[in-house]
Amino acid sequence: MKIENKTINLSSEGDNRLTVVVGNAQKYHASFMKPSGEYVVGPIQNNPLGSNLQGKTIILSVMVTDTNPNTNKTSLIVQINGVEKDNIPSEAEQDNGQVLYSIKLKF
Amino acid sequence: MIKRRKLLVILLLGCSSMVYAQDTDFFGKFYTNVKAPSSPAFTILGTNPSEISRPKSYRQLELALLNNFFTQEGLTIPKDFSIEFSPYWLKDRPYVTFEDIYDPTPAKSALYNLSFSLATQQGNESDTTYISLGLRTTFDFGKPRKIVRELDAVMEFEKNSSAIMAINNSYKVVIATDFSSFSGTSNEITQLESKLKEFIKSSQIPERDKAFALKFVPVYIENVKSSGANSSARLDQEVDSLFNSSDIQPIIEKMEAASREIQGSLEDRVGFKVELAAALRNEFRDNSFSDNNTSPTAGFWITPSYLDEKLPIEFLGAFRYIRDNQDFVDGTNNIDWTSNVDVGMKLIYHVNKFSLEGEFIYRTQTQVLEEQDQGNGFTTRPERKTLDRKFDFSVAYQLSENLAISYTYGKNFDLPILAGDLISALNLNFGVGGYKPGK
Repeated sequence: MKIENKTINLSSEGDNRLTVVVGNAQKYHASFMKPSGEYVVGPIQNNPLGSNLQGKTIILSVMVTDTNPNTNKTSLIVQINGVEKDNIPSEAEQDNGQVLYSIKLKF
Repeated sequence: MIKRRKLLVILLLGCSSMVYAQDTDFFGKFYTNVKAPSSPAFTILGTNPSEISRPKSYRQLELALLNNFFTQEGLTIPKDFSIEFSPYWLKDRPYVTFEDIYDPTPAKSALYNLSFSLATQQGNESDTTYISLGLRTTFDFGKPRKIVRELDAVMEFEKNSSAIMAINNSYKVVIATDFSSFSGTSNEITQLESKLKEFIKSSQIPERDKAFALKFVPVYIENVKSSGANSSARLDQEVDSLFNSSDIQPIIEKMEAASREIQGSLEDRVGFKVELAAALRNEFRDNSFSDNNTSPTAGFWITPSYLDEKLPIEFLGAFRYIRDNQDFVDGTNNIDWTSNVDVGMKLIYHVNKFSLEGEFIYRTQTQVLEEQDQGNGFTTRPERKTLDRKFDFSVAYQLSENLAISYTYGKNFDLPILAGDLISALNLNFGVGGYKPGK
C-alpha cells in the first residue's frame, strides 16, 4: 500500500468547512477526527471543522482504491470553504492497489 | 463430484482440438460473429498479440513510441508491436469522480470509453510490414445493474479501510498533540503506549475499529523501540510502516478483492448501448515509411445491444463494412478489391448457468476484378456480387467463474470457408470473453 503524507498549513480564522475530492474516477473512503472529538467517516463535503482551531492539527485519512480500469492514477483535492488548498496526485503501485493519503491540516 | 468435473474437462479439452475443422481466409478471421472487436487494429490485422503495451500516461505513451519507432538510423517500423490506450485517461483528471464513470451520460461514456489501438506485423514476405490503426468507443444509454451503495464490495472496502484509517487518525493525533518533541526515552515510550490506549478507548471511533486500533498498540510500541525512533516524524513513519507489515496484509488483500469487484460492477450494466469501431490497415514495402501508398484495407463496425434488467435476455445487432484492396502490393491478383457488408443479429437467453444463443448474419460481398481491355479501345472492370449468410445456435454451460463449455451448430459463410460450411463445434472458453450466463 502506498502512503502519501502531506502537511497543509491553514488559517484558523472564520468558519472552516472541509471538502475532499478524489479524482481520476477512483473509489475512496475518508475519515477524520474533529478537535471536539467528533469522528467523521464517509464522503466529506462542506463538513464544519469547528471553531478555535488556532494551534490545532487535524489528521485527515483518505483511503483510495484503484477501481478505474483505464488508469492507476489517483488524486486528492483538499478544499476549505470551497477553495482548493492542495491537489495531491499519486498513483497506485498496481491494478486494484491502494493509496492512503495521510494529511495533516495545521491551523 | 470434483473428480467427475475434472474428467469432463479433460475429455472436452481433447474434443476441442477436433472441432472447427474449417479454415478461413482473411475475411473469415476478420469477422464471423455478431460482436464488436475489443481492439480493432488487432482484428483488422487478423492477429491476437500476446504482448500489448498499455500506456496509462503521456510519458508512458511517449516512451513506448520512442522505443519502438525510433532507432539510431531514424524513424523505422517495428516488426511486431501492439499498443492500446485510452486518450482521455492519459491525463490526470482530478475532478472526475467515481460516480461520474459509474453512471455517465451517453456522451460522457463515449469519451471515457474511447480507445486507440495500433499494431504492426511482419508480412509473409520478409520485406513487407503491415501497420493497422483502430479506434473504438461505446455510447452507453443504460444504467448500472446495482446502485453503488448496494454493492457488497463497497461495504467490504469501507469496513477494511475504516480499520486502517482508525489507526492512522488516532495514533497520529496523539503524536501531533502530545509527542511533538519526542526524543525516544523509555519514559516517553511508556507514556506513548498508555496515552494511545487511553485516547483510543475514550474516542468516538466505532467500536469495531477501536478494537482493531487497540490491538496494534503493542506491535507499534515494539516497532518504535526496535527502530530507535527519536522524533515525532519517526513516530509517524513507524505508523506508516505498520500498514505495510504482514499483520495488515490480509486486510490489504481484502480491499484489493473488493476493488476488483467494484471495478467489475462498472461493466455490469443493463439497457441499451451502441459500440462503434473503425480500423485501417496499411502495407509498407522494405519496412520503410517512405515506400507506402494509399490504404489497402479499411472497415467499421456498429454494434447496438440491449440487456434487459429483469428478463434474462440480451440482444445484439451488427452492421459492419470492410473493403480490402487485394491487388495493392504485387499487382498480380485478378481481384482488385473486395468489400463485405454484413447485417446481423444475435439473441442470448440466460437460465442459471446455461445460456442459449441464436445468431444470423446476412452478407453482401462485392468483388471488383482488374481492368480488362475489350480490344476496341474500351476497357471494362467486371464486378461480382454474392449474397451469403451464416446462422448458428449455441448452448453454453458455466463450469466456474472463468471456465465455460459451449456447443455450436449451424451454417457458416460459404465464401470465406475453404472446406465446407457446416459449423459443429465444441469449445471451452477460459477467462475473459467466455460465456458468463450466471452474471
